[in-house]
Amino acid sequence: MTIDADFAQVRTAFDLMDTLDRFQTGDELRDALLGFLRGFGVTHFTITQLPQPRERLGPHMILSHWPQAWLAHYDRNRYYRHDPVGRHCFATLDPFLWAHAPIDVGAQPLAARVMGEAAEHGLAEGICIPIHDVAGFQAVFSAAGERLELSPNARRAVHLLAYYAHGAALRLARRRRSGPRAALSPRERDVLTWLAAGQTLGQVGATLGISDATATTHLRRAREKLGTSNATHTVVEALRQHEIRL
Amino acid sequence: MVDVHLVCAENRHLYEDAIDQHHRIRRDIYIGEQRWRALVDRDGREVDQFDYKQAIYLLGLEPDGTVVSGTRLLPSSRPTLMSAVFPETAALRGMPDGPDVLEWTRFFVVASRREEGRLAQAGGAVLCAMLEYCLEEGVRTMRAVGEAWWMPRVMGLGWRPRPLGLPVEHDGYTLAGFAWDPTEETLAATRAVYGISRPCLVRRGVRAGRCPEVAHGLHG
Repeated sequence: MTIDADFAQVRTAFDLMDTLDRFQTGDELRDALLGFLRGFGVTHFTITQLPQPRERLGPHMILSHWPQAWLAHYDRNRYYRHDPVGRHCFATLDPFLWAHAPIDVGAQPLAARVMGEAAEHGLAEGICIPIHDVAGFQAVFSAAGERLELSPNARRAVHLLAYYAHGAALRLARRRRSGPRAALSPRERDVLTWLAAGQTLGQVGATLGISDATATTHLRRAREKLGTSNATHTVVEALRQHEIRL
Repeated sequence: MVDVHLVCAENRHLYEDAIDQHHRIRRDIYIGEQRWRALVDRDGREVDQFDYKQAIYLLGLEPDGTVVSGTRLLPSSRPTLMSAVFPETAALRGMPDGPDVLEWTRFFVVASRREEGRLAQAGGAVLCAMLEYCLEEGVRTMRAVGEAWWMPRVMGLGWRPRPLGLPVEHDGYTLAGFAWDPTEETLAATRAVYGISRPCLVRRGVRAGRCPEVAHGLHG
């Protein structure tokens, strides 16, 4: 990579950061990011919240171009809890290459298998930019391909770009879901919080000192407000919109 | 609830104790907790070359006068962290400067007032007071050198930071230079995030437009 080409890529990244706010749809944003990242060998990327280890990753993704077959296989096998890249996001504030995520066989017995199978799906090399949002929730921008070519300056540019991409993706996701929607009531939040903690609806009623029917009504109202389809979906959506915390 | 007091050369005599508390807190945080190696412990206090008389302090005080949070604003016409120490953080876009541009430095909340995994109200009051101050004084642009991972948090407050250069690795930290424009919308968004509904800035012994440098730009 010549110095000039390197500099041109950095300029392009900064120009892109200036424009991300103007995209009106997730598709436009996705295409613009991919168009830029392809120059470094990136074929896929995801901007996703990082859930609890036992959860599926797919429902937490905010904006992605990620191999469908791989994600389905990954979630079906609960690979997230064995994924050394996901784990390392909680250990560092700085960007890192997938290859540099330490593998702890004791904590994640299937780590090497997850990385090997990712490579078989075209995700052999990757870079992660961990993101800590204002409420202390954790997300990540992860980009991958068969072979990445990132100069030190390109890495720094992608680092900044990831933050802007995350901000733009969140804005579009909120708009897509909501329009202005009614806020959850404190009781609705209580019910969702206890469901998120693993209680059944019956247990939630007992905990809050309300009947099962009332707990069910709170859940239904929350579901209507969030536009979700079932209890799990509602809890995930409430977490993602920061209505509740674990 | 924390009130945030504006302290500058004009009214500093009213706040000698609070200013001293704040230098001790800065020692505990930046030298004790964060171990910034460039800083010097001066008799239990952290004081650097930018604590000159044109510096503007916003100090979050409890009713009994205990300092729990704060920040320091520097005029862009003077040496600052960005211009004198880390100019490479603004290498690509350049540093905004002028009488209506301030640099944001040394934002802190004392350990006992931080809230695990949550936004600390004591810090939110300082940020809201800073935006109130900027709007009252006609500050057009703020700039800052900060740890890069703060940028998504700043965006989450409704600010729209513009990157000024590539991130720079320094002493185990990754630093980024950015700038943003304080607006009524920014203030409203920040208040909403923190659930703050009232003005936080307190002026004692100094009217709007009377702090040095900024006042100079507005009225001179």
